[in-house]
Amino acid sequence: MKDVIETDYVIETQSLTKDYGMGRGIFDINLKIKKGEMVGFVGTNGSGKTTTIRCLMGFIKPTDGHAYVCGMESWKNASDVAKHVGYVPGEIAFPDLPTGTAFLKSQAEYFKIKDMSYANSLVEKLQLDTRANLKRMSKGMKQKTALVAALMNNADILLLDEPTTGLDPLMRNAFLDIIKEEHKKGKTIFMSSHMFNEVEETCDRVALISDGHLVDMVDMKKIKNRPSRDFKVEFLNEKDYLAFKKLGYKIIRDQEKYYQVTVNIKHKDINKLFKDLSKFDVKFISEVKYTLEKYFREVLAKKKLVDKQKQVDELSGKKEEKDV
Amino acid sequence: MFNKALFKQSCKANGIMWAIITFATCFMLACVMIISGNGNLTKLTGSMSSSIIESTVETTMEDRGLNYYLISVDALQRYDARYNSTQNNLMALMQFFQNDIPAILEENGFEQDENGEYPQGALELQGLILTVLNPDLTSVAPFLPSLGIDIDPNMFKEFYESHGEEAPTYDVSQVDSENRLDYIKDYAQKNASIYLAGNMSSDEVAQSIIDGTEESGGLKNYGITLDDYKTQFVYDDGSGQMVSKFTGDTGYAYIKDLSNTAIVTLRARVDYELSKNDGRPETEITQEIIGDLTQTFLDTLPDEISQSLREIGELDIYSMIVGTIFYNIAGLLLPMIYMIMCANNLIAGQVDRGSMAYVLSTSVKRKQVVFTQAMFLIGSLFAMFACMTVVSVVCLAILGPATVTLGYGELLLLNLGAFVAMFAMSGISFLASCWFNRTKYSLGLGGGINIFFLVATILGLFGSSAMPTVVRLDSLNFFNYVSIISLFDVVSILDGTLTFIWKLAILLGIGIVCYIIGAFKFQKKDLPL
Repeated sequence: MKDVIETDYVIETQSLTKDYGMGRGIFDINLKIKKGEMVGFVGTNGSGKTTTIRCLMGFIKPTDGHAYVCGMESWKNASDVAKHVGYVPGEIAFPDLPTGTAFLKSQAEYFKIKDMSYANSLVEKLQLDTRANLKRMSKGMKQKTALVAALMNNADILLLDEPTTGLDPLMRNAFLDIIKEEHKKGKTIFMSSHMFNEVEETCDRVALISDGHLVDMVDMKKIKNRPSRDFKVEFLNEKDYLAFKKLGYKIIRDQEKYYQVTVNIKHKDINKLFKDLSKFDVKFISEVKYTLEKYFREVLAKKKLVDKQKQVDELSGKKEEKDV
Repeated sequence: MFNKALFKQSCKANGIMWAIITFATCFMLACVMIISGNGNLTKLTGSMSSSIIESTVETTMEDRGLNYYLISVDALQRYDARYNSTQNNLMALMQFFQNDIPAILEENGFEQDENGEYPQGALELQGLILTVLNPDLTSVAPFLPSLGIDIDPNMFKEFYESHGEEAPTYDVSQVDSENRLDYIKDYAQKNASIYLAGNMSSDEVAQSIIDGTEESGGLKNYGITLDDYKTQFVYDDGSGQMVSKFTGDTGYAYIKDLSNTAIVTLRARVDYELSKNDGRPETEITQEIIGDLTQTFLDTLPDEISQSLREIGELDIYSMIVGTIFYNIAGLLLPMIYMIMCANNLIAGQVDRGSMAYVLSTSVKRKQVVFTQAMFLIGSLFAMFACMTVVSVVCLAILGPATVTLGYGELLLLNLGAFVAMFAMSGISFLASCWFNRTKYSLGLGGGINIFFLVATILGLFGSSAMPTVVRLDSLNFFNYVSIISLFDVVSILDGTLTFIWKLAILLGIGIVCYIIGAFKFQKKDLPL
């Protein structure tokens, strides 16, 4: 094992595993994030997002595999890693200090920052009143304060653990805007979330983690610029409905009861579809948006199927062994 | 290793608690020291011990008086015998000097050394015999040096005169009369009492009673000084004025009376026993009655009670309250509360809440964190005990070391010992704080163990040697073996023995080991941040 590796990626994990027993933890996570990327990290509660980020911060020691930040092994070089990373923890709990100002000042001392102008500009931009009592701050204020603390040493990498949880939609959008702005400045951002739509809006790439396993890593461009679209069409009468079905479109969902069909159409065929539809009595037509959530649902369903098949295979394999 | 920013933050977070607890502890300490030092705390043991000592001194005087009386009677009878055989005062005296005095001395256990000299006690006895007899030495004076006797012929007469007594003349004219023995006894009683009173009421003898001998130990072991001896032991001289019992002119009168009464009692009881005529020899009866009369107050009590009374008499209540009650128990409680809460706040509390993340995500190493926090905990405890030391020394200075039995050195050692004990316990709490990520476990185990030690010490106090046997419950002494606070040996410090040193060294070792293990554990463990 090397403490420092040569790598093009600012964040890299090599079959990172943290086994808490009873199937809990993270297993064989391989992540590669380039400089300047903004990567989302989604998964349900308890799927291992926070564990992965803690490994990256060097707070916990992996059972197996390694996490590298800027080529440095996180566990061994936690304090050096920290220099390159701004971290917003999932649970915001401030030290026992009176006000936000006192907290930011003490953070500045840790960072050995003498010039508070950058921090002050951040505070201004976030419209944050740091004179407030730390304990009586609202969730949004706390998140903002934590973000200022993470940004104030101008680190290249931002690790955000569910930063928008508990924020109202307006606050959330404002918060995400700030993060996007940081991204534009060229910072690498790794943000975990259990809300698909927010990473969908902001991130370049999204990793999906489920039950501790990295299921998929998808480029948002792929999802946004799919070569085909889905349209849902409902007809007024059965005759038209049956006639349309005979036209040979790729039907992915058929609801006979309502005379509804959902068709998958390539971009270039959209005009043809509308021409064909003009001949029928159409009740409504709408595009079924292909979301990240939908994509991941499919991926997970496929994975489940594969897992089941594997289990069945294993079982039958065992049976055969027994029979032999 | 040391991180100033973190130290500052710890100061801000725990400073108020530190100030409150330190103030409360110092206030309590000042109250304990001033109130119990100023108050009537020592009066109880003082009066108890002084009445026991008084009765012991009186009994010693009586014992001596009876002894002097018996020796005098013996000596006078021997002189009578000499006079009977020679019918000449001069010859009788010469023979008495030459044979009888050495014989009496030898019977009383005094022997000449190689140089032909007698020990101090023998001279006293010799003085007694000669004083009681009060012979006319002018005629034998030229021969005395040849007998190895070096005395001023007039000293006995002067002795009587200095106490306002008339110098007696031993009448040998009726040496054969029937009432001769009664005459001798009366004569011996009167003059032996005078000799005793004259001798014992002098300041030099008083000082020697206080200093004592190497084997028996004098009254100074009970904290009695010459002034106490003169002013504490008093009686009403009849005019409502309290005057000294054992020293000066009043002491002379009192001791003479004491001795006279004892001798009269002895004589009356011996006569009564002899009148029963049960065949027992007079000497045996006399010895038995003397044994009865010279029992001290403590001798008359059952062993356990007399032992415990003796202990209470010797008990130094002030040192016990300040040393055992305060520094070993009460004074540890508040600092312990601070220490337990602070140790938890410094590591486990911050890990549990998650605020440690803000420290560790700023390139501060875990080693720095644990070292700085340990320094803060030790430093704040040291500062707390330094404040207590200053307060206690000031209190002692206000009281004046003369009024209490506690010295500055002992006081400083008590403070040092309490700090070392607290250091060891803080090590345990710090270890628990480093070991667990949850406040509940850290407080539960780190605090629980230390509270257990304190409670065990409180229970153990009732079984410890610091308690007088009257109130001691030996079975509770078991608790002293399960508490590390017992290693802070207050009794040893107060007694001036050195056992407390290695015990404190063990405490120091426990503390250091706990801090080191805690530091390693914190650097190696997973943090849920």
